[in-house]
Amino acid sequence: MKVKAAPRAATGAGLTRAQAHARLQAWFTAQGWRPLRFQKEVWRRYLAGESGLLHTPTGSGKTLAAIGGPLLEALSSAAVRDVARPTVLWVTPLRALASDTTRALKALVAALSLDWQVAMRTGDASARDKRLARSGRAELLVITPESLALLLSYADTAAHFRHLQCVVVDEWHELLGNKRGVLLQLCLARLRALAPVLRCWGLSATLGNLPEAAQVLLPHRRDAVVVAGVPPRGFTLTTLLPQEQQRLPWAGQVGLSQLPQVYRQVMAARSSLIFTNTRAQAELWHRALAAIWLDDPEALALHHGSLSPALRAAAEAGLREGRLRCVVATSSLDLGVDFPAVEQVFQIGSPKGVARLLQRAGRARHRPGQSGAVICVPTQALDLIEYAAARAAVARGEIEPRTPRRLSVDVLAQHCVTLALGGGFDADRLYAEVRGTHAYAALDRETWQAVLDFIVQGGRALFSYPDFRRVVCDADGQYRVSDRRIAFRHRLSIGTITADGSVAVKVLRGGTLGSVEESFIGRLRPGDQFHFAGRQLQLVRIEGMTAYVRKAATATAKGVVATWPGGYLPLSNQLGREVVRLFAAPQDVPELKALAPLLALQAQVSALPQPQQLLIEALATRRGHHLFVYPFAGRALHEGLAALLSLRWSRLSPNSLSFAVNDYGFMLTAPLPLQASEQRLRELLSPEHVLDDLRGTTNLAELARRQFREIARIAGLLVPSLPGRESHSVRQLQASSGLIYDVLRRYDAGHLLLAQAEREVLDDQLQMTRIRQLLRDHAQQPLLLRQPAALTPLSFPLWAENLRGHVSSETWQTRVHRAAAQLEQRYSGVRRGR
Amino acid sequence: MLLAGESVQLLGDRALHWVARRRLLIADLHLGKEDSFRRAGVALPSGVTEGYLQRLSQLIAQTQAESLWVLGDLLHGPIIDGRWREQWQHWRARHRQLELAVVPGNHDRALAAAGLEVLTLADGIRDGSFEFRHAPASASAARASHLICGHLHPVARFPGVARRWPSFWLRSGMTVLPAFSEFTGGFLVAPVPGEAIVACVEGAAVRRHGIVGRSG
Repeated sequence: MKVKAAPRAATGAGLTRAQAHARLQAWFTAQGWRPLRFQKEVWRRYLAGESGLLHTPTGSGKTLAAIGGPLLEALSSAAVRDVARPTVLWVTPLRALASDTTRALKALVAALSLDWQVAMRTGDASARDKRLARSGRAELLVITPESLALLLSYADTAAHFRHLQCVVVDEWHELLGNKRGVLLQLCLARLRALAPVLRCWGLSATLGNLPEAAQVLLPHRRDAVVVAGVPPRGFTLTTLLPQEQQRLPWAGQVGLSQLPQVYRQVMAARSSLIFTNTRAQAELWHRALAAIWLDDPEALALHHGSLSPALRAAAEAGLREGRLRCVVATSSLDLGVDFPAVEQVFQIGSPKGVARLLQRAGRARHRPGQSGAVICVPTQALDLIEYAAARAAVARGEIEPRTPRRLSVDVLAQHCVTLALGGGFDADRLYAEVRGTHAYAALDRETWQAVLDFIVQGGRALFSYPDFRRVVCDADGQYRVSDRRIAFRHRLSIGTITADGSVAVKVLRGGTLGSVEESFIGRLRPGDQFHFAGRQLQLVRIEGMTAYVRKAATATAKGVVATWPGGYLPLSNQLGREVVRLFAAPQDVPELKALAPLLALQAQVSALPQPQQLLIEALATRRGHHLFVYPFAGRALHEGLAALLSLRWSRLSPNSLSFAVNDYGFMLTAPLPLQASEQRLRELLSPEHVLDDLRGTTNLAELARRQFREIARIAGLLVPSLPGRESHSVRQLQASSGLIYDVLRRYDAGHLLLAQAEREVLDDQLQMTRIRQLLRDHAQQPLLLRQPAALTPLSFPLWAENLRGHVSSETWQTRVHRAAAQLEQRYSGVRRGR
Repeated sequence: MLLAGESVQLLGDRALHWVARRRLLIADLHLGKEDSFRRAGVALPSGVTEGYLQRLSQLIAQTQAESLWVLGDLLHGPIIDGRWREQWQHWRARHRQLELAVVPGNHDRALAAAGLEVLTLADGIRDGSFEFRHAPASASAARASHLICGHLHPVARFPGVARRWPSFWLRSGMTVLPAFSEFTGGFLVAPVPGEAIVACVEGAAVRRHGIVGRSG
C-alpha cells in the first residue's frame, strides 16, 4: 500500500468526554469484558495530566490500561488537523512483542472508529511503516528504544515529536537494569524537551524496587504514582522427583537422566514449553527429545537467542497457532509474548531467580486470572532445595530488584552523536537535559567535557588525535555531524545490543540458521560434524564471518553440540538467602524430603549452612589442598571473592592458587597445604583494601579487556560491518575491540572508556559493593570451619566444576612457555607411542 | 636455526633475521592504519606508528642489520599524508645507510605516490635459497626455493592461555611471517604434524610443533 503524500484529514472524533467513555465502554462490552479498576484509575490519572508506573502481570490488561487514556482524549478532541502527527509512542523492548502489540492496537483503534494511523518502527518494520515513522505521519507508533534513537538522529523527524502527548514504555522492568534502558532514559529526556506536556506511563512486572523503577522512568516527577494492577496470580511449582531407586547426581547441569519422565509429561499435554538455562543445554535437550520423539517431528521445535530470526519467528508462530507440541527454549522466550495454547512449562535445572521463574511460569495458560504453573526438572541433587526456596520466596513476595545503571559514558557519547546528527545541540543545554535523567544525575562537568572531547577531538589531548573528525562544533556553538559517511555509519551502529565475534551459520544454497561463537567454529575443520539449531550439520567451509554447512548425511554420527561461552546467570541474592534458610530449617515439602538423606550426610560429615554464619570446609584430595567457602551469593560475586582471596593468600605465603566457583560458593586449590586457621581466614576475609587488592589480580585486566567490546561498540569505536556486502573502505576500518583496547592502554591510558570498562567489571561482574558488604557482615559473624575427611555434598559440585581462574604473578611469557612445554611433552609422548 | 640451509633467527619482535645477508625481513606493517580510522570518525590515539618505528630501530641495533625488506603491506590504505608519514621520514633520516626494499602487497597501491624512498622489488624475487612474496603462492606450484611471505597475519593459541599471539608459521617449503603491526587482526593457525609455529609473546619467541589432534 502506498502512502499518499497529500495531506489527510486526521481529526479527533469530536465527541464529548461522556460519549468517548461510552464508546470505549461499548467496545469492552462487545468483547464480553468490563474495564478493571486499575485500568480506569490509569485512564483517569492520564486524563488529569499525570504520569506514572503500572505494575501488573502480563496478560492482565495492561495494554488497555495504558492506551485507554490517550484514546479517550483523542475521541473527545475536536481538533481538525491537516496532517497526521505522532501523538502516542509505544516503546517496547522486544521486536517480537512489537508486531503483536501493533496488531492489537490497530484492531482497537479501528473498532473505536478513530481515524488514526498505527505503525510499527522496529528493525523488522515494513518499508511503509518505516516511511510513516520517518515522516511523522502516524499517530500511534510502536517502537524499540534503538529505533527511537534512530528517529532522533533525523532533524525533521525529531521536530514532529513536538506534538507528542504520551509515551508508554512496555516491559519497563526489562530495560531498567541495562544500557538499553539508559539509552531510553536519554531519549525520553529529549522528548520531554521537545514536548514539555508529554505524559509518560511505564508498564512493569512485579519487581523488588518498584518506587525506584518509577523514579528512573520519571525523574522529573518526584510525585510519580505507582499503580498496582491485579494481584499476582497464583503460582504452583511442582518438581519432577526422581523415581525411587534413581538417585540424582551430586553435580551436573544437563539432567538428561530425567528425559523419559519429561517426555511422558510432554506427551500427556497438548503443548509444552521447556526452559533451559543455556543455549547449549537447549540444543542438548532438543536433540535428546528428537531422538525418542514419536509424534510428528515438525511438532518439536527449538528457540534460543543465537538462532536466526526466521527460525525463531517460525517457532513463535507455531506456538501461537497451537501447531507445536513442544518447544525447547532459553530466556529468548521468557518475555511477554502471549502463547495461550501452551499448557505446561518446564524448568530444567536451577531457577536462578524468583522473578525469572515467575515469568517463565507465566507462559503457561497465559490468560487473565489463571494461575502460573511450572514443573521443575532437577539436574543435580541440590537443585531440589532451590525449587523449595523459590516456592517459599514467592509465597513471601520476595522478588529481585533490578539495579539501574549510572554514568555509562559510552551510551552518552552515542546519544550526543545522535543528537549532533539530528539537528545539532548546544552543549550547556544538553548538559542540563542529560543531568535530568536518573542515569546521569551525578554527571560532573569534567566527565561531560571528556565525553564532548571524545566525540569532537577524539580524546582529551588534541595532539594525540590528529585529523580526527566526527562531531564538529560550528561557529554558532552548535555541535553537528556534517560528514555523510560518519552519519551513515553512526546510524548503522545506533543501539546498544552487541552481537559481534559471532560467525553466521549458513546452509549451502539455503538460508541462515543463526550464529555460533568464533571460538567454537574455529576448533572445527571442514568435514567435521556438529549439532546446531536442532540439526546435525557438517562444516563445508568458513569464509570471512560465515560458516557454510550442509545437513549431515548420517544422523547417527554424533557431532559436538554448539557451545557459547559465558551465559551463566548467577543465582539471585533473594534465592540464595532463601536456600540458606531452608538448609538451616528444612520445610516439610516433597523436594526437601527427597533431599533429606543428603542433608543428613552433609550435617554428619561437616555442617549445614546457617544464616549469619560463613561455612568453610578445608580438605585435601589427589588434586591438591582445597578450601571451600559458601557465601551463597551467586557465581559472579564468588568469582570476584575467589580472585581476591587467592591473591591475598599468595601474598601471605608463596603458593600457586587456582579457583572454581558456583552459585553456592567457591573453591581455592593449591599444591601446598593451606593453613586454614580461623585467625588466617579472618585476615583473608578482611573488608579492608578490597578495591586495591582486586585491582592487583591479573584477572581484572583480562576481564576489562573483554568488557571493552561492548563499550567500544556503543561508543562508536567499532565500525559496524554489513553482512555480505562489505565495501573495501569498511574492511579497512576493521579492528577487534581487544586491539583497540591495547592501543588505548598504551597510548592514552587515561581514556574515559577504559575507566568505564574497569568500573563495569568491578561493579557489575565482580560486584564490588556487595563483596565489601558481605565481608563487612561476616567480619562480625562466626565462622563455621570444618575439616571433613572427604568431599561433602556441598563441596563435590565445586570440585567437579571447571577451573575458572588462576591467580598468578607470572608474565604472559612464562605462561605461554609453560603451555608450549606441556604440549611438547604430550607431542613427544605421541611420537613415542607410534 | 636453519631454514632451507640458511642460518636465520626468528625474533620475538616479529622479524626474521637472515644472518648471512645481514637482512631483516618483516611483513604487514600497515602504516597509516590509525590515521584512516581517525579520519573515519573512530578515535584512536596516534603513537602506534612511532611504536613500530621504535621497535624497528631496536631490531636494527640489536642485529646490526644492513638491509630491511618488507614483504608487502607497508601501507594500510590510500592516506599518504597522515601524521605517520612525518614520523616515517624522520625515522628514515636516522637510518640513511639502511637498504630498504618492499615487495608490494595488496594494500600498497599508493606506494609509488607516497614517495617513501624505498626500493620496489618484484613479487617472487629470489635470493639464495629463498623466494620472497607478499602472499603465499598456491601449494601446487613446485618450487625449488623456500618461500618467505606475509599477508596472512598468522596467530596461534596455547592451551590454557586466553590470548592469541602473532606467530611465524613454519610449513614445508614455506615460512609465513607474523604481521609486524600490532594493530591488526589475525588468522588462527593450528599447525599439523611436520609444521611448527613460533609465537611472539611480548618480545619473546616461543616455539611449538604441530601436534596430532587439535588441542591447540
